[in-house]
Formats: sequence, structure tokens, C-alpha cells
Amino acid sequence: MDACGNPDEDLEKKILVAHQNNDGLKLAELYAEAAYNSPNKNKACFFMVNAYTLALEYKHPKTQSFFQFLKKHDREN
Amino acid sequence: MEKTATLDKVCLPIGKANGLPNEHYTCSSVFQEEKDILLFAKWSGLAVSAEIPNIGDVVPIHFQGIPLFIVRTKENKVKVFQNTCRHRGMILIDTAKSIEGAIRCPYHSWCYSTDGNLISTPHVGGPGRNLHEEIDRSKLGLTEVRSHVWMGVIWINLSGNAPKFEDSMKELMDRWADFDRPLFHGGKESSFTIEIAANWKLAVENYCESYHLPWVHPSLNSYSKLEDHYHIEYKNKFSGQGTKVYQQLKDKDGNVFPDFSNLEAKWDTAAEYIAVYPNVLLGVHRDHAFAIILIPDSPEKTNEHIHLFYSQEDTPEHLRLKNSEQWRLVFDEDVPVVEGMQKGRHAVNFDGGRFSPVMDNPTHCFHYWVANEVQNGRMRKS
Repeated sequence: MDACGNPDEDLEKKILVAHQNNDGLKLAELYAEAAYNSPNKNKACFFMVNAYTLALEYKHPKTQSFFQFLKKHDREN
Repeated sequence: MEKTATLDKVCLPIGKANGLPNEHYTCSSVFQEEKDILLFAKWSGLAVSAEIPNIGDVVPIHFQGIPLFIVRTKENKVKVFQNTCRHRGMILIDTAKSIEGAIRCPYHSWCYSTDGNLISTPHVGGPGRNLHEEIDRSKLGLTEVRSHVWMGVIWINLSGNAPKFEDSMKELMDRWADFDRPLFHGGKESSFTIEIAANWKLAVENYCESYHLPWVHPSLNSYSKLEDHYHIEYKNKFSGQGTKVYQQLKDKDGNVFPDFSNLEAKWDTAAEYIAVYPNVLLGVHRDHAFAIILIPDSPEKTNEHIHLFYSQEDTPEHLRLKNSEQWRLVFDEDVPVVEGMQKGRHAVNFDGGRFSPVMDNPTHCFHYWVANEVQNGRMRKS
């Protein structure tokens, strides 16, 4: 994760590959990883919104915990 | 005024009546008018519930140009929605698939549950913010279309103001109470589509009557003669024909399909074929049933979607194939006459034709319904 809270190059590459492969479950996990690793609250929530959205679509087992993350930061209710 | 006067003739007693005028089969504006009055305002057939057998299954379907999808919800209910995101109107479902979790719009990823509720609005309040005070998710669910499943068919009322399905169909549901039970779709080989170059109403009219059987279906005539048939008419609801000499399909060893259990004795040899207005043609027999859903494509083109159903989930495949082939042959035999009637409607001075006062009663019953509904619709509009 860089100083601005963006994912490092390796994680970014993994996210792009998962997008290309249309691998929603993997993408949800990678976005969640980016969120958990980001020191910047807004950036973290941005990534977690993506993780939560894909988790909803693909019924990821951690959907509820992603939701709680957003709720804790007043981004979901 | 001329159109109304002509439709008055349709509503005369059968011996004096004319059929519907040509424009009801050939004219785009009348086609549009009938779409609103006869299809949208009534309970129309859309699809069969067997197309979405599992929880989460979705299938996009266009009905008269309206993008819809059918879905089997997490609660195992069949529902019909407009296939349009409440955000920017994007089509939500572009291909038949199984929804694991939520329906996600491919554009900005607004998410809906399978029962139509808007459950997530990613970044709607800015990056990383799923909330905004002006976006009330509880009011932005998918637009549901009234629907009801009966005889394996998903019926819809697009106008939303028809009487309840059970009230609209009461008389037929009572008549066929014996068949109000789970029907098992025969699978892939028990579905087929026939495209006809004809107005949808001609398919209804041909289906209603037995008058044409000796000439168009000579193979049926060998055991199911004209005199073995009877008319079925219920004004403004449905009409059709019945036979008293239905014979079960047999394979070379004499095997037949299992019967529906506990049928009345009359069904040992009876079968009935009823056009449920507007666009569903149903047939019932002791051992199978079928539904033909007519999907009008244009004034002179119609798709007939045919589905066969059985009394049990597992029936012999070779018999199902044979039955499908047999029915396909019968329905294919109807195509030239239905398309021929369509061609005949381009004769400028054709007056809608006359009816046999004895043999064409179910067809006249349908014409009467169309004329009556269209005239009432025109009066409401004016």
C-alpha cells in the first residue's frame, strides 16, 4: 500500500487479472484486502464498497463482515 | 365510426355475424390498439415456470417490446419484473443464468435482491459512500409485473388492473379443477417453437374449433371423428373443443404415460383443448397436458411456444419424444391454413367471412370477445 492508501503494484495487478477473468469472488477478496490494508479511511471505504458489491452478487461468505465495515464508517445502514 | 359499425356485425348472433375485419389482422395501428386492450389489460401468457426450475434462475424475456425478466426468488416464488435498473434504465439481465446472491446492474452496480428490493447503491453518495439522503432504497425496488402461475404457465397482467387471476379464470379453473396440481414439464425435447406468418388471433381461431379436423388433420380423423367432438364456450373468457375418444399414446410394448391420479371417470376417454383469451392455448388429457403460448411479434408474425407436461417427474424418454413428434406434426399441419387465412386478409373486399352456425361457435365466441373488448376500449378512449 502506498502513502496515499492505494494498493501496491502486486495487489493492483491481481485485481486487474481478476477483473479480466471475471472472477467476482476473488475480486471481492482482493478489494477487501486493499480496504483492510489502506491507512486512509476514505480509500478503505472505496475499496470496501467494491468488495461488498461483488460479495453481494456472488454471495461471498464474508458479505456481512464487509457490510459491517461500511456500517461502522457510516457508509451503509 | 366505420370500424365500430363493422365490429357491430361481429357481435351479431353467429348465423348473421361476420368475422373481424381485415385491419385486425394486417394493420399496425390496430395491432397496437389490441396490444393494450387485449394483451396488457388481461392475464396473458408469458412463459412457463419450468424455464426457471431452480432458486435464483433468471430469464430475460421481451413481451410486446417490453423488457422483462422472470425469476425464481430465494423464497422459491416465481416473479416477473421489468428488466430495467431504477438508476439509469440499464438492462439488468441480458442472458438466462442463475443468480447466486444479488442482481447487480452491469453499469454502476446497483444491486437488487431476487424479490426486487434495491439492497445496495455503491458510491451513490460519492466514492466509498453507499448512502445519500435523497436516495430512498425502499422506494426504488424493481418494477414488478403482476403474475400468477397456473397450468405451468406464467401469466402476467401488465396494466396491473385486471381482476385477480383466480377471479378472471374462475370458470376454467373450476372446469379443470382435476388438473390443478403439479404438472411436470417434459424437459428440453418437450418444448418447441413454431414461427407462423400470421396474426396471433388466427392461431387462436384455428385452435378453438374442430370443424377443420377432417381436412387438415386426417390422421386424427381415423379415430377422433368430427362427431366425437363438442364445443366449449364461456362468453368473454375462453372457448375450445373437446373430444370423447382420446386414445393414449403407446410404445411397441403397449406402455403408456402414467395418468394424473384421481381424475373423474370422464377423463378416461375425454380430452379438452381450450383457448384462454387472449393468448394461451391449453390441452388436457388423462396422461399429459400442453400449453401453447402465442407471442405476437407483429400484425402478421407470431411465435407459438409449445410445452408438454406430464403427471410425474420421471416418464419414459422415448414416449416423451414420440409424443412431442406427434404434437409437432399436428401443429405443423395447422401452419398452412393459419398462414393461408392471413394471406386471405389482404383481399380488400373481404368482409371478415361468415361462420357455420353449427360448427364455428367457439371461433365466433372469440371474435365476439375481441370485438366487444375493442369497442369498449375505443369508447373508454373517446
